[in-house]
Amino acid sequence: MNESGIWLTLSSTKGRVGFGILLALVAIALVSPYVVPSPERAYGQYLPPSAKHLLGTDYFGYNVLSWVLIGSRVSLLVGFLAGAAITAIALAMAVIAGYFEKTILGELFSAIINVFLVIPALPLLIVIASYIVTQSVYPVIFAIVIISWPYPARILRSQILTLKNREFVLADKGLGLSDFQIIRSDILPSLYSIIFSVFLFGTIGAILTQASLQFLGLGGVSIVSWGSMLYWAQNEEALFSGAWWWFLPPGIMIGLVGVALVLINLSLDEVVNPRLQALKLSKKAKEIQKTFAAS
Amino acid sequence: MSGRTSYLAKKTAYLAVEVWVALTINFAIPRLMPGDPARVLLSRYLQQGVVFPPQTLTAFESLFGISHAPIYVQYGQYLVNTLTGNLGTSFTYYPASVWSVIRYAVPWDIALLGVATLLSFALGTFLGLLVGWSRSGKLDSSLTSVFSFLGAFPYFWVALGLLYTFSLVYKVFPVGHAYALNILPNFSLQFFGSYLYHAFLPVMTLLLVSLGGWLLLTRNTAVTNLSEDYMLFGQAAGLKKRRMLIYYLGKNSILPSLTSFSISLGLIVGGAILTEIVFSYPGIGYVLYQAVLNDDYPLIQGIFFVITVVVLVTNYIVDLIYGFIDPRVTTTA
Repeated sequence: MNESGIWLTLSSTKGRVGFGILLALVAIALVSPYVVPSPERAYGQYLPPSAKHLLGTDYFGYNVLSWVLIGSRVSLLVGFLAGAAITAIALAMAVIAGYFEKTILGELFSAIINVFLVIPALPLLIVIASYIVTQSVYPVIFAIVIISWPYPARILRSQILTLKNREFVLADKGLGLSDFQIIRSDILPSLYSIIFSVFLFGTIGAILTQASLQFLGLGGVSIVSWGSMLYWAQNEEALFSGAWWWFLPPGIMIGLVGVALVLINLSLDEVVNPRLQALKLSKKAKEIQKTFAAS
Repeated sequence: MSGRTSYLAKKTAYLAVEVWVALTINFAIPRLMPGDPARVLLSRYLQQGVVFPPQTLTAFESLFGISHAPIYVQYGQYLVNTLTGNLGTSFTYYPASVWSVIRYAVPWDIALLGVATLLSFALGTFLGLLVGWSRSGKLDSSLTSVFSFLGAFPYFWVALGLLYTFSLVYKVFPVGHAYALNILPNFSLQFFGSYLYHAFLPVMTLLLVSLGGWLLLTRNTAVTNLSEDYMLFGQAAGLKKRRMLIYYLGKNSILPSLTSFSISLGLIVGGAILTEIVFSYPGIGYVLYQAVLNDDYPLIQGIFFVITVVVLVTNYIVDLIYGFIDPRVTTTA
């Protein structure tokens, strides 16, 4: 499918809802620091939701709504940056391992993908993150990218392997186009929808992984984010104290980002994957049955 | 000669390379990251306002077994130590060795993960087949989207929510641990009952994370297989629906999911770490959490190594079984 496929997602309801939620969240992330009270200002401990504190306050007396809104910045930053980096690395590895399959470099890259694919990701991430001392989110993004690229690389590689033997690619090769030209004008355009899908799931995965890492107490728990909220809520046993308003919002927000991206992906599927909309099997079979009966 | 022997040789070689890569990563990470464990620990204390005399660094270094020998000497020592089962000393559980701590935790993981993996594979492929069969039907779109959306929420958050609902609000299930504390682990029926009672909720939450993967995978294979000629022919010949579903579609759609076992295994292992933390289940994930909380670097790295080797060997066995069931892969691979 060509580039326009991505914009076609706006023609489906799912796509419009997904993009709508996402835009709203991005707007919140951009505007919130100028609008809501500082997340570091303490009020009374565990105040339930009220007109003054819409989502109540936490164990430390911080306003939960402030944390939820400003926390969106970290999750979205981690998601989009890591998602983009994962997609870029996976694509580069897949092109070398898939398109140049027969060369030594291609075989080497293929082997690297296969090996890293089976090394359990979360344990590896925990090992890397346990050595990160700073309260910055960038080393964590780097670590998440390192553990997340192999699976999308495998998907893209298998697509490239089937694409490169398709007639239109072979024809261009026969016409004397260089490898670079073929990759640019034949392979990549045919992969647009899958690349976009890899980016969407890379983003969701990175947001979830970062939250899990903070929940474990790694990757900077003093950063204002949804993951650190869940860490402190668990640490101070918010649920045992009945402070559901501290525990529920960050999870719901993470889920909301994920749902928006899944919706966009579903609409992408609808638009560019006609095989899923294929003719109903039984209809076709009945036609054949009729022809047999008639003869 | 048979492709089977060369398939076996190839898979074994791959296993050896994978274990070597895991070993090398484990060796390289502490040395690539800024600051060794001793310095990281010191700076953590410094951040909390605790100041140590300078000789503390040397003491920490000897505790972590950090040497200033040339890197290849260190690498050699590390390989010999690890392969002979010497993973160092844990200081969370001091003076226990890392290996003995892990050995004590692993049976609980087998009990929990074994059940969860089998259930999720069986249920997931079955539902995937049904959903694929009714493609574009109501069942398909609803189940597919339920699992896609469920996957968007943090897994530990869902698990904590379930724990809160069923153990604190309704008190149907215990709040944690693998068995009642007034029973000693033995082979009695009473202990087994207690184990099942405590494992129910963790297994259910693990099913939630892993079921979707199998379901979607089998569904997609089934949808592709539906448009194969043999399906069309079977239907035109008037075969019964059940026969078509099980023998025509099922047989051809379940096998390919097995090739994705490796990826799913990694997912389940990751999920299990978080499950065990949420439910205070005494497996290796819970021990890993304790190790992280206490900056117990020998234990963190030992656990990473053991988990990786177990996953790699399991994959290897599944690959061999797969080669046995479907001889095509031994000739084409």
